[in-house]
Formats: sequence, structure tokens, C-alpha cells
Amino acid sequence: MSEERQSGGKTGRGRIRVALAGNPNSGKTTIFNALTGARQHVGNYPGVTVERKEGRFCHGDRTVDVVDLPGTYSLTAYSPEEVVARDVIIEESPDLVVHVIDASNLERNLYLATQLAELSVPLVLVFNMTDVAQARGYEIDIAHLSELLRVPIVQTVGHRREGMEELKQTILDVANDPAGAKPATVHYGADIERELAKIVKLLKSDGGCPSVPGLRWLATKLLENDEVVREELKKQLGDPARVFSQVDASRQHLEREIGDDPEVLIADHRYGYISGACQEAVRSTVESRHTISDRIDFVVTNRVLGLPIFLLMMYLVFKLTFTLAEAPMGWTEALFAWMSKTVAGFWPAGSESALQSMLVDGVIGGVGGVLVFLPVIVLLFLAIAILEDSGYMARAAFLMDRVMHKIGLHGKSFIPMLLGFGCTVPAIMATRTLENRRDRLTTMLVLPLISCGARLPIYALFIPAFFPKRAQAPLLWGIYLIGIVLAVLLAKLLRSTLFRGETAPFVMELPPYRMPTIRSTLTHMWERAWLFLRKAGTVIVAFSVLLWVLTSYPKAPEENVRGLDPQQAASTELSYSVAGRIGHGLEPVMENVGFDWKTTTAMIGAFAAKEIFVAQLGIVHAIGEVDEESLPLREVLRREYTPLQAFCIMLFCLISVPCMVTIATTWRESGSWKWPALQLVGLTVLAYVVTFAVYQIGMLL
Amino acid sequence: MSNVAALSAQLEDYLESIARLCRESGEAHVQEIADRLSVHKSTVTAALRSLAEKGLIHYRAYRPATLTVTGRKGAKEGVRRHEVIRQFLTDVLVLDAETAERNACELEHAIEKKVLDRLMAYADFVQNCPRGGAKWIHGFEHYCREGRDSDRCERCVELCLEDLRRTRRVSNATKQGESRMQTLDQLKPGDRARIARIERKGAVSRRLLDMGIVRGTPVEVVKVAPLGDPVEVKIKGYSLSLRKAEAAAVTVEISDEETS
Repeated sequence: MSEERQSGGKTGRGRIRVALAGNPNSGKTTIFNALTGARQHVGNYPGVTVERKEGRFCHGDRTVDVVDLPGTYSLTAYSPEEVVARDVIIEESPDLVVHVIDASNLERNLYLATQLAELSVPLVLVFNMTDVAQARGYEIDIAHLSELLRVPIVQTVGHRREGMEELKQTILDVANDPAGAKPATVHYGADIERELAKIVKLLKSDGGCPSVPGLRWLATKLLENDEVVREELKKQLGDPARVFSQVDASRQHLEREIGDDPEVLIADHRYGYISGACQEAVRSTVESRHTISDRIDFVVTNRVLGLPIFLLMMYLVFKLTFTLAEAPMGWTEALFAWMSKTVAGFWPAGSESALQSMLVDGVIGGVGGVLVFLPVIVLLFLAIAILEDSGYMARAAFLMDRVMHKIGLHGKSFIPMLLGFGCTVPAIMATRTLENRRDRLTTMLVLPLISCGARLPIYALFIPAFFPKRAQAPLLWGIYLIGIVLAVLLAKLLRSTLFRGETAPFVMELPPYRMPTIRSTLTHMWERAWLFLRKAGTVIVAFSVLLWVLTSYPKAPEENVRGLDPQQAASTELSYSVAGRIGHGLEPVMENVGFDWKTTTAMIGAFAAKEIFVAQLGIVHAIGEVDEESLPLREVLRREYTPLQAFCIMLFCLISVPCMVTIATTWRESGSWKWPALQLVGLTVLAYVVTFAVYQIGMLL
Repeated sequence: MSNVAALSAQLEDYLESIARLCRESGEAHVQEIADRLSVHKSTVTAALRSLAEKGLIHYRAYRPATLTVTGRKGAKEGVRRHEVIRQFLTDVLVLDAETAERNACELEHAIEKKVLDRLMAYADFVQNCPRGGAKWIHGFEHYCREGRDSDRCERCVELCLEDLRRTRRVSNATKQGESRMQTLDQLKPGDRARIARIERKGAVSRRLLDMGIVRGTPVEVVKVAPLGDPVEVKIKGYSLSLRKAEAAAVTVEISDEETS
């Protein structure tokens, strides 16, 4: 692959670089897959969590590199996706842009085309889903429309791969002769054009702008008061003040003369231009206003049935993700247990060394700890891909927005929150569906408060040990409820402090329902899961080894463990280790919240995964590695702690960060160490404060 | 008016520039005028003196110039003449802005009032006659580029008729029942209306515009979410959801034709 990359095309002619643009739900990904096949590379744009997909294909004697831009409706600086899309076009200046259009929703899709046209890159329009358009009774005079817009138009049906050869040929033709694809730009009327001309003239004379052909676009953006473009130009222009004073004068002038914001006027003209072109070239033969999608929606978002159907869907997602994953998770665990045993067997009994312990407990344990998540993650991404590709995700947000908006979040935050009850890690990954960064970070940071499945064993150990039978169920509900209430409060707090600002608009397309294709669903699922393994995996393995070191070293002196049975020896070793020492050291502080050094030490070990807390408690109390059903452990616990302490231990486990995988995932998904650090410190402090209050008040009663 | 009529072409240009600058910032500085007309400052000063002598502007050395009442009238006339010609060149003859500006500067001094009036009338006629209009002008642009193409003539005439009938219908409808203004969130499921304007600015407005909520677009409220907040509307042939608070920022116009 690298060899090919160096040789740069088979005949030595330069490669053609193509950027694939389009609205969300226009079938862009299907076209991308059909063009590039398996030769894809998925990554992230630096600094933002927007996926960057690249691929290539050969046609004739040329190699074509394709970069799949994030799906956008416009090129305003509304979302990181839009900023990324336009940065790629401007900075990487591809040879041409291929704009994928949903032919059954022509007018809104062409809006992006009017903006791409202003960037003065050669443009090819792909009218995708022409079968749907035909079924809806649209007759499009492609030749005429192509002439009006002055761009080549290719008709395709993405999922049947129709029109792909023609598209490839058109790409080559345009790359060879870009003059044939100089798209027509919208004429904004005499007043705006005059102001634009003034700004363009100033920009030209300034000389600070690198993209001379795109000056008209820059001028339009300035007139629209686009903050990102303005900031960027402030850095690049020789004399920004001169340009900006003209821009401000022009904006004022237009507002005064025409009485409307230039932004509004420009959008009016763009849509006006499009509807003019469509009137000339598109005829609607059937007046069918109710599509199949409308009929499905009639039931699915129905006033009465909507919510029950939604709950059923969520139940299925939950079931699919966590129940189906159980078996493969079991296999993974078994496989790694077997590997540990085999590797441990390399050393004859009695000659166990530090290396053996590190390999078995540190490395294999760590890798196993990552891989055990893989089935859940793969299935979660499968569920999300199906929800998104089918169009239901938007409906779920539509149904739940009222509730989520109350706590300052977006309707789409509901699904991650729900998944959080299963496992925080996939839940954090599910926040990818949130467009707005503030919403996304808020959801990510509060998610650990939603009590995950791994914390259940802790409750299952303590509750029966300390509380009478009739109080057990309400107590368990209570713990979950406390988590939810704290999550809501914390979300509100974050939205009014750190992530203050207007809530993201809920102006969202409800795309037509579509049958998800197996191919794209599976590709999606696999790409994301692999990315998680590669990026978060390394961090998690490193953490595991570190935790192993902390709980194993330094060793207890020989005489201290001599003559003890293995369980007591393990307990003594743990007490001697760094973790044990930290536990001892923290005891004075943790005493205030009902912890002794033993529970504190177990807590440190449990940073690998919350359910380990139970096993660690067993070791530290010299009972050996046991599970939550262990009666001897319950016996010991009952002896050593009060019910109030037990409650506080559960509370602390609920609020503090569940595990290092959560931290690694937050790092991975937020793109910076700042957020996981805040999450870790913030939640620990919150856990301490809340538990402190409960314990101290409880002691007084 | 007589002193304006006697102005040389150059002085007329100066007068217009000053008028524009005054409109923009209240006064005209020598440097600004020089920039605008691409001449040296000393040339400007001479011209300003000459204009001041004719009583068209107030001017003292080193001070910005402002228009006198006569000057304002004269400039208006000149600006109007310039604008009419320039607009004719861009909007009817579909010439580019630069060519139009240059030629307008030349033509405005040579043209008689009678011809100018005819040009205005003609532009108005072409733009408003059902057989003309934006499409017809667009066709002319195409003709200039590609030459004659009679294949589409029939379709073009058909479109003219369709347009004419539609405008008749709309104007009849607005005549019969006066249209009512409301905000989008007040509409009930099944109600139809046309977008009039967006009241709010910022991210929401920008997003609404991008999604096709622009003036004159027909919109239909489809449903309200079960919990009562976001609403679903149909616009430009697709479904869009938005919160009531956001819908409240959109003013719509309901005419009887649409409610029936």
C-alpha cells in the first residue's frame, strides 16, 4: 500500500483528489462505499471528534483519492462538521467536489450546491436515489438542469450501484478539463452584489487571502457575519480593520436599504434561485402527499402509541446490546482465563516470578479487560447504526426532547443515558450522535452517575448483608434513583456554568424511513469498534499494568507471610503494596465517609473495573477472591461495618468514576485529557462531599 | 437645477460620490472621494472648490464636504440616472457588474431624459410582463452565450401561462380574504401557511434559513410530539422538527386559500 502511494498513479500522472460532500441522509456513505470498495481508511480530524474517511479507486489509468466530508446542510459555521467540510475544501483544495444529492428532496439538497459553487472548485452533482424520486413522481430534466446550473449531473441509485461507472468517468473528465464544471453562482440582486463587489475589491487589494478564486465566497460569508471566517481573516489579512469596516458598513447599508439582515437576504436569494431552476427542470407528475414514510410516522410518533413504541424500541436496543453480548463476553473471559492458566503453567510450581505475575495479572488481565468490552461495543454500534440508518434515531429525539430539554440537553441525549444503565463505556460512545459539543460533553461527563451494570455486584453484596429483606428492593431502586437525580442536577449545573450558552437548536430533519443495508451497517459497526480497540485499548492496557504494579509491589517481607495460609498471605501482600499503603494513608480522610483502609484499598484496585471491588474486598479481608454471593465475606463485612457504612460505601461507588475504561473512553471521545481529568476529579469530589454529608448526618441520628 | 445641468461629466461624478459618502457617513472626506474615483487628492480639492462655487456643496479647506439643498437634488438626479442605466445594463442586458458600472458612468452624461424614461419603462415592462420576467432574461443570457435554441420555446411559453395563472390565483386569494399573520407555533396540525419572516437572530435563525425556512415558502404543520413539545412541519417536501420556542420565532402568513 505504501509503495503504491509513493508511485502516485499508475502512469505517473498525478492522482486525482476528490472531496465527497452532501447532506446527512443523502446516501453519501453508500456512494462512498460503492466508489472505493474496501479500500478505506477511517480516522479523526485533529481536535474534533468528526470522523474522517478516506478511500480510493482506480479508473482507466488514473487513481482517484476520495475524502468523505461529514454530512452537512450548509457551509455556515453552525457545527464542527460544517467547519471541517469547508476547511477541507479550502485548505486541501481537492481537484473537484462531488456533491451527493437526494433526488427526492432536491430543493433543500441543492442549497449546499449553491454554496459549493461559490468556492470556485469544479463541481459534479450526483443525483442519488433517483428510484425514490421517480416513485414519488418527480420527472427531472437532467440535461436542462445541468445546463442551468452549469455543472455535470450524474444519476445514481447508490444501494444498487447504478450509475457508478458513469460517475467515475465524469470525475475523470472533469479532472482533465475542469473548465467544463464551473458552476453558476447565485446572483444576489443589485444591492447585495454591489456590496459584495466592494468587499471583493478590498480583499483582492489586501493580498492576504490565499484563495483568490474563492474571494466571492469569502465576501458572502463576511456579509453573512460568519464568525469563523472573520476570525480566520483577522489573522491572514494585512489590514483586517479596513476590510471589516467596509463589511460592517455594507451590512448596515443593506439592513437600512432593504430592511432585512443580509443573512436572510442571501438565503432568500439562494432558495429563490433553486426554486426557479427546479420550476423549469422538474415536473411533479403525481400529487401524492402521503409517502410510505408518512404512514409509518403516523403510527411511530403517534400521540398515544408513540411513547410505548419508543420504550419497546429502547428495550430491544438494551436487550440486543447487553443480553446478546453476554455469551461472547463469557467466551472472551474464558479464553483469557485459559490463557492466564497456560502462561502461568510455563513456570513450574514454586518458581513463580514477578515476570509471570506481570504477564498473567497485568498484561493478559489488561488485554482481556479491553477485549471483554468488544462484544458490547460491537453490538451497541450495530444497534445505533440500525437506528440511525433507518431514520428512527431522529424520531427518538423528537419524542424525548421535551424531557431532555428540561435538563438543558438535547433529545438525542436520551439514548446514551439509557445505555448508561448497561455500561458507561458504550454509552459515552453513543454520545457521538449529538451534534452540539456542549451537549455532548455535558452528557459524557454526567454519564458515570447512571449506575452501570458493573456496580450491581457491589449492591448485591452489601444490601443482603446489611438490610432486612423488605428494605432490599426499595434500597436498590433508591441507589439507582440517587444516581439519576445527581446526573440531572449535575447536567443542569454544567449547562449553567462550564457549558453555558444557548441550548442547541432542535431544528432537525426527520429523514424518510429507509431499510438499512446490511453492508453499510456492518461497515459502520466494524470501523467504530476497531477505532475504539486501537485507541482506547493501548491506554487501558497501560493502566492495567500500572494497577498491577500498585497492587503487587513492594512485596511484604518474607518473615511476615511465612507460615500464613495463602488467603492471609494475599491479604498481607496487598496491605504491603503501594495500593495498601495509599489505603492506609487515606484512612484518616476516608474515615469521615465511612471507609477504613481495607475498603479504600479495594476501591483503588477496583479502578480497573468496578466489579473487581468485590474480589478485592475478599482479598483484603483474607477470604480470597470471591463473588458477591459469598456468605463468609458477608459475615466478615457484617462484623466490621455498620449498615450506615455499608450504605455510604455503595453511595461512594455509585458516584465516583466507575473505571479506567470510562476515563480512557472519555479521553478518546472528547479528544483531550482535560475532560476525563475533570470527570475523575469532579466525580470523586462529588462522591466525597455527598457521602460525607450522609455519613456525618447518619452518625448524628 | 440649471447649475447642475451645466456640470461637466467629471463634476457630476464628484457630486455623486459625495452624495453616496454623505449617505453612508454623513460627510465626505477628500481622501475618501479620491479613493472612490481613483484620482489624486489635489484633483479632488480643485473639483470641490468648483462645486462649492456653484453652490452645490459646503466646503472649506481641510474639512469634509457636505451637500447643499440644491446639491442634494442634483446629486439625486444624477445618482438616479446612473442607477437606472446601471440596473438596465445588469438586470436586462445581463452584463457583469464591472462593465455595467463603467458604461453607466459614461452613458449617464450623454443620455437625454426622454431616453432615460423609456429605458426605465422598458426595464419595468420586461421584468413584469408575464411573457418576460426573470426567466425570459435568463433565456437572453443563455442566448448570448450559446446562440439560438428553439427546442424549449414551447415549454417556456407554457411556464409563462402557468406563472400567470398562479399569480392571478394568489392575488385573488389575498383580495378575497385578508391574510392573517401568526407565528408558526400557534398553528395546529393540518394547518398550512407561508413563511413571512424569522424574528430571531443568531444560531437558530441561521439554522432555520439553512433548512429552507425562507420567505414565501409554503409550510404545513404535521404533528406535535406526544409530550407536547417539538412540532413536525413539512417544508419543501421534507419533514422538519423544531421546538415550539423556535417555531415562535417564525412569522407565517395564512391566507384563506391555504386554510380551506
